[in-house]
Amino acid sequence: MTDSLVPFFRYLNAQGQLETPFTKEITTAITPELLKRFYQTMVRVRVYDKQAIALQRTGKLGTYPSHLGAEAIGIGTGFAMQASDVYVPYYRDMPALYVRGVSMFKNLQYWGGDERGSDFNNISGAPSEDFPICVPIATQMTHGVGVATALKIKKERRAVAVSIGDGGTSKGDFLESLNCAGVWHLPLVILVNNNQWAISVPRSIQCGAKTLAQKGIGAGIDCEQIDGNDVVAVYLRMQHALEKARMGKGPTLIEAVSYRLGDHTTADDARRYRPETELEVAWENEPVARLRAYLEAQELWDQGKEDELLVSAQQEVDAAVQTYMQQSQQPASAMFDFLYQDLPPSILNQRQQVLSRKKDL
Amino acid sequence: MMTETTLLEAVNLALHYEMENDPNTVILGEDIGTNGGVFRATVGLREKFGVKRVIDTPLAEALIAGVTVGMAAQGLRPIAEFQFQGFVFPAMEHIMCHAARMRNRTRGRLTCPAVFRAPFGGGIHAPEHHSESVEALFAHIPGLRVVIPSSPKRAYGLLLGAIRNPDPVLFFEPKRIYRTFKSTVTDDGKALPLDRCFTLKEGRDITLVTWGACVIEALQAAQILEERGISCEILDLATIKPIDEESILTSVRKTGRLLVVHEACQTAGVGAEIITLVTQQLFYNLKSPPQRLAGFDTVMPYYKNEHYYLLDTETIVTAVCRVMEDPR
Amino acid sequence: MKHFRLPDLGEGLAEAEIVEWAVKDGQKVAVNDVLLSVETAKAVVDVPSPVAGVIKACVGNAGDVIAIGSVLVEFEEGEDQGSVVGQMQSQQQAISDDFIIGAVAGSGQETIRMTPQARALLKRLNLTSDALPQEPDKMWAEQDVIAAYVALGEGREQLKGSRKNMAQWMSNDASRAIVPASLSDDIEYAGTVDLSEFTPRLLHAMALACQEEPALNAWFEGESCTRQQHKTVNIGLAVDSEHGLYVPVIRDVGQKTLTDLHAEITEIATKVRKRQIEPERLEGATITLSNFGAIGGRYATPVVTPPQVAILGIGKLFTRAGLNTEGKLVPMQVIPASLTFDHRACTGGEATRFLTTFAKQLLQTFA
Repeated sequence: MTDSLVPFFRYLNAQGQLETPFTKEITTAITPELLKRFYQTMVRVRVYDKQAIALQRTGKLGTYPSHLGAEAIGIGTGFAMQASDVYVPYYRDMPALYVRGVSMFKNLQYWGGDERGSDFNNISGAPSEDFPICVPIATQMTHGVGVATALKIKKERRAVAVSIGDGGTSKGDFLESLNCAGVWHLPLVILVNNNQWAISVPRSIQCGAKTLAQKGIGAGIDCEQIDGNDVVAVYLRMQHALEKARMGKGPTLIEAVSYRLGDHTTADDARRYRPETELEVAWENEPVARLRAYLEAQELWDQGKEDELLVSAQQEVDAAVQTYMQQSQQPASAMFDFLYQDLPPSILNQRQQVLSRKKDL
Repeated sequence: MMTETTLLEAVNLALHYEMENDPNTVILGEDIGTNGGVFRATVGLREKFGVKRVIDTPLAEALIAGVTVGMAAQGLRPIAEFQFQGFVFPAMEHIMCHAARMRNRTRGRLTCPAVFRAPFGGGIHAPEHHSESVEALFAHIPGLRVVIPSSPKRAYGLLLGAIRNPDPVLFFEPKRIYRTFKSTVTDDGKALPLDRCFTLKEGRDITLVTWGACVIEALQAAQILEERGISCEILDLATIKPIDEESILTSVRKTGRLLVVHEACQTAGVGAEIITLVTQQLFYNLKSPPQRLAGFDTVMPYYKNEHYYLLDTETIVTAVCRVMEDPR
Repeated sequence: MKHFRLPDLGEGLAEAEIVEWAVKDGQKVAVNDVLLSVETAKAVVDVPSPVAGVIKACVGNAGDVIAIGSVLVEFEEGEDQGSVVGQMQSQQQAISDDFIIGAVAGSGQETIRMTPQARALLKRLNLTSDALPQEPDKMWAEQDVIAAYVALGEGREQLKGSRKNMAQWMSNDASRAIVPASLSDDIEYAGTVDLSEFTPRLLHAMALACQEEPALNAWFEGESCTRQQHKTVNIGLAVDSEHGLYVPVIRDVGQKTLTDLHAEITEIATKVRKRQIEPERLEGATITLSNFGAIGGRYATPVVTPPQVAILGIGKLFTRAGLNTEGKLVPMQVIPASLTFDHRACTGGEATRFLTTFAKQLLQTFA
């Protein structure tokens, strides 16, 4: 995984052991309590993920992109960010959004075909400045550049984190954004979730470079690879990059290497194109088990705590599902409500039409 | 060879035929190789024609379009696939500024005989950006052809026509009816003419011009209206640009009434173009003002509310009655 | 999708028991069709199909306990839905896929060319373009429609000059409402009126008055401002019956004797009473008579029925003292007559002359 061009960071290996003992600095930064919170949150979003797929399979949710295998990336990022930072996510980023205050219910709403799912508050309950989930590929990169430019103009000590998949790095938007972030020295952290698959296209035929991180070199951006299955690495390196950004020391590109353990979405079937053996190996590296192993070795975790957590996680998920299933549908006219600040008269007329030909499900 | 095929399979059949018979044909796009395309339109092609002619590209639509322009300039017949019409926009610059203008810029020295395929339209409960109907954006660009099939036979014939056309063609496939019905397609390599519309049902009282998945609801509406004594003539526009003006005029000259039905948003839509044509040419033949029934000028609602946006049979029946009973 | 595995049904449970299959091997299913119902520790849940396709095999029987993630259904190969988002409906019924390239012209039956105003006028005149003469290249304007309309009715003319001004002034706009004006008179007869054949006498006198003043024996059409004066006098006779008001038409009254008219009225009255009156005998009146005095009442403002322009009402006869031609006070029998006419189409003078003539002719029948 290492490449001479870019550094590689991993703290916790697949067996749940420290590659090198934590420095004093790291131990201060990552308390046992925080590690447990990482673990609890990763389990919670994994339980949620399973439930969301079940809801889709039973006709209660629309197409849903699983984040199975991306828990460390999302949770590490979410905890590394400050509430005042701005997050610009893509569609597989439920975990980080969850840490930033976007409830499971909101995520269900979004994938359940309801615009209200993108209307959310931040962790402190104030309206969030985070962007909504971005479905078009890589466009969020340029928005991240824009937000970071604004923060710089306004001289605010806040950072922007933008997230993208490995496939998205092939788009012009990605390279254009890197270039701009580099030359403008922006407070931007670009996190690539390299899960090895862009739908059916494997990383090997997506890009000829050894790492995706090294794309930052040409833009004059600090870049590094990390083990995306190691929440400690994600947290520490994201925290480092975000703080660097806040201090006005420029952008960072972080490639988090992980694996998409699920299908692209619930409408995809990866068995058509993905070797089963590869998946088996990937499961040995997955992020949740290794953290549990470490916590257990440190006697911070045991089966009793695990059982409690699973019950509590399921309760949280069940409550979200119940809220989702019981919510009232938006009226037919909702499609007009946020089109403009003031609806032009001609379109107001169309709003009347939709009400007159209203059909209920 | 005659086969019962869906619209989607007819696309695949046409691609197979042309790849087999024209070695200059090349297919490129995201997930089109191993995966056979996200909708399986290109299934079986890579196995048969190899990775050099069936190319899985990196995830980059601008790249796909630009590469297509380059290939076409070299005399290849590239067929590019975009996974959804909503993701064509990064490629817009290449399509508009290069594909559409190559012949003009080089005074015919270089051309762009390419096809850009993309599924379009709503009604499949997809997430946002997967339900666009923006054919009008492309119809506005000089130098392009825009083609939309609405049945297996027409998909087969029109796609062959598009591939063999010497100029760039945007070929938008109505994904809502990709698999909803089958018909008998003869795999004989015969292309249908572009720039023509198709009469799906002859009628006396009103001409309905429509295209894409709306054709299905229009035909159903015509059946209901027939029982009420209103005889609808249904024209499938098929080629959105250039419009088959003569056929539309012929039909309206006969019926004296016009309703255009399209799923795309109303304002500056293709319906306005057809109504302008008919109003300018047949103003004095019209028995009532021509009307359009189009999508609202809104963003397609997320799927829980998308049925409020889509045009169903009943809405078309009502719109036809409104044209027929015009009190003025 | 080749295999459909039992999904986690959302309850965090590891297994479920098959209650009942809703599908069988070989069956075609659409997205969201129920495949089977299963019972978990919490509930019985229907499991819908995530794809459309043909079921190759259902795995397990009712009562079997299945682990989450186990294969439940194997689908036939080749039914791969192929999408990364959404639900692809897959009915796959065969349809006819016939079409004509281009459009088919009408067989000489093209819509005629008219200005929108002309077409609207045609519609208000209750005409279709079929009524117009075939002139393939003609471009029809409003005036052409009026000309054609005039030609369609014998004696129909478009009003001109002061007559047109009157019509337009009276209407105030292009409204179709008539402008009623009324005129009453007491027709005095020194002597006793012969009540036999009274209604035939009224009809007879009306016919003669119409010949004198044809403006009242006419149809008027406000949209086109056209008037059609009739040569024959067809009088609608208001007949009250227990079923309501009927106005059968006695045609060409001027050519009929009192005896003829009497016989016809008797026949009509019988038919109306029996509700056997032929519908065509209720059409085509050029003017109307209402002999309401047979029931009672002296004066009235009878209502004109468009396109007719006049209606005459006769009230109940009465006797009063009056001067005869020699200036002597004698008993006078009075026949009260009330005329309503459409002032768009008739002048007051025409109406007055009509009524005067009517009175004179009526009195002569008693002489």
